[in-house]
Formats: sequence, C-alpha cells, structure tokens
Amino acid sequence: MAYSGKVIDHYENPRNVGSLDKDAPNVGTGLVGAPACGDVMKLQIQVSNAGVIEDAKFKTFGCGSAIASSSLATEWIKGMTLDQAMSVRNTQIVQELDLPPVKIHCSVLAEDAIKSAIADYRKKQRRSQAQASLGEG
Amino acid sequence: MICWSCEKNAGGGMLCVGCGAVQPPDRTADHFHVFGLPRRFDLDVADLEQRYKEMTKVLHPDRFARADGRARRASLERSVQLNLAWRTLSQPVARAEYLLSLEGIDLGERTGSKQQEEDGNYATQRVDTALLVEVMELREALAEARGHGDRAKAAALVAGVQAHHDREMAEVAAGFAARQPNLPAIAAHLVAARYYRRFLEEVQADREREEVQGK
Repeated sequence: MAYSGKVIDHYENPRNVGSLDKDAPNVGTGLVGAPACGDVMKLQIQVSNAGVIEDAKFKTFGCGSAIASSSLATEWIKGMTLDQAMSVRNTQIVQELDLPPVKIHCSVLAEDAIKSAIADYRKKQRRSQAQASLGEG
Repeated sequence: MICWSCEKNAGGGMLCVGCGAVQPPDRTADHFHVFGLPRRFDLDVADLEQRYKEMTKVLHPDRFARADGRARRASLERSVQLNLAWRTLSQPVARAEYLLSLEGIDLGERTGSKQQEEDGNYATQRVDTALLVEVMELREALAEARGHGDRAKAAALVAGVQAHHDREMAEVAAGFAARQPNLPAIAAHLVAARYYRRFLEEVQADREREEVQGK
C-alpha cells in the first residue's frame, strides 16, 4: 500500500514517543485497541493547573498509519485545553494524513486514545478533590 | 436440481447422478456444506484434507479442457468455492471467525474498515483494558530486551506469548464444544489470540529482516 508523504514522515520521525509517569496526579493515560487490527496505542497527557495540556507522549505498536495518527494527535493536542482536545475528530486526522479508507480505523483509535487519556485525568482529579474535601471535613 | 446437460434430477452433488456432468455450485451453501460437513468447530482436519483432495481431483481443469462451456464454467465456479471453503475451514482461527460470522458476530479483517461504518459492530468495540495493558507491557519488555541484545529474555517472552495464544485458542475450542456456546465470550478469546498472534508475527518479521541483513 502506498502511504502518503505525511504518514511516512510521522512514521520515520515520530513526535513525542515515550512515556509519562502514569501515577502522577496531573497525568492522564489512554490505552486503546481495536479487535479488528491487533494494534495497541498508549497516549498520555500532562495537564497544567490551568487545564492546558503541556506535554503529550505516545507509544503505539501497530502499522505505519496507527503510529502516524498517534504522533500527529500528540503534536496537535499540546497547548490545547482539555475541551479543545476533546473536540479533535478522527476525520481531521484522516484529512491531514491523507489516510486511505482501509486505514480510517487507525485515526479512530487516535481519537479514542485522546478521549480516554482525558477521561483518566479527570477521574484522577475528581478522586483527589474528593480526598481533599474528606480531609477538610 | 435439474441437470443442465441431461435435464433430469442431478441429485445435488458435484456431478449429476444420471449423466455425470459437473453441476454449478449452490451459492447459498456455507463452507461446511461444501464439504458435506455439519457446522461445528471441532473437525478432523485430516478428513477435511482428504475430502478436499478428492474434490479437487474431480474438478481439475485438465478434465474440462475440451468440455462444454457450461461444464467448464461450473467446474471453475466449484473450484473457487471449494478453495475458499478449504482455506477457511483448515485453519482453526479462520474457522472460528467464520462460525461466529455465521452467527452475526463480525470480528473484522485485520486491515478492514467496512466495520467502521456500522456502529456497534464487534470489530469497532473496545478491547478489554486488562488485555491491552498486558500486551503493551509485553511489547515494551520485548523492545527493551532487544535494545539490550538480551536474546534469552526475548526468546522467553516469545515462548510465553505463544503459550498465551495457544491457551486462548484452547478456550475457543472449549467454548464451541459447550452445549450452549457463549459466543461473545468466544469472540473475546479470539480477539485476545489475535493480539498475541500479532506480537508473534512481528517477532517473526523482525527475525526475517535480520536474516536478510545477515546479522
């Protein structure tokens, strides 16, 4: 299959590969996979007190399109607020990377990974707030 | 079915019971029916292979080189149907996926996208998080072992994943053998097996690359 130049660029020079401390209170981790492909994608965000994503890292074991989709996703969401990141759609990734129809599910995974990282971060925040109010009371 | 050649009852097999002319395939037949077998996961692959070989012999193109156009077409269509049925049923993974698809559970092709359009399809559903965590850790451990050139560690990881894979496939077989098979549970085991297989395939691909590079 012919990959677009942008996919090859992200595949050969992936941005933001790595891990953040998944136990840190200001880090959200999203781990997703689709049964159809057998790919695994981990995407992590580090969120500032102001609710802005200051850092994002990913690790993807899968095809070139899955790696490119997650690499692009981390690049985009850095500097975004959580609400802005929530509104990133897989169709934008498809368009930017010029993904063929058989690779659309890779972009879906990336969108899911962003959402699941944000959900994990928010869950942690709620938990620590609950603990804080328990401590006060 | 009326035979196209002698116009009498053909009998429903590959060849007409009356005149022996090859009959066009029944397009509604499932892969099991092609071999005259009941729909079930547990099948004797040696027996299946025997059937496949015998049927292939009957349908061999050499036998139809100078035959009527209708016979040639019918034999060709039968061969296509037979080969697809053989490829599907002779492999346990493909057989299990096929049985589930007959029951309306589509796990999707590895690179397929048609499932994306149909919401709620199994192929687009999330994979169990515990499985993803495990697979991610295994992959990271393998990458690390490779990075350190620790071949023994890498080999141990591969052996472990192979064992996981075989265990999942044993669960699939046991699931189908149950009196009332729990199909979603079987599908989950198949998906897990797919993740482990994907891991093993990539190890294999790396090995082949290294051999090419003469390492």
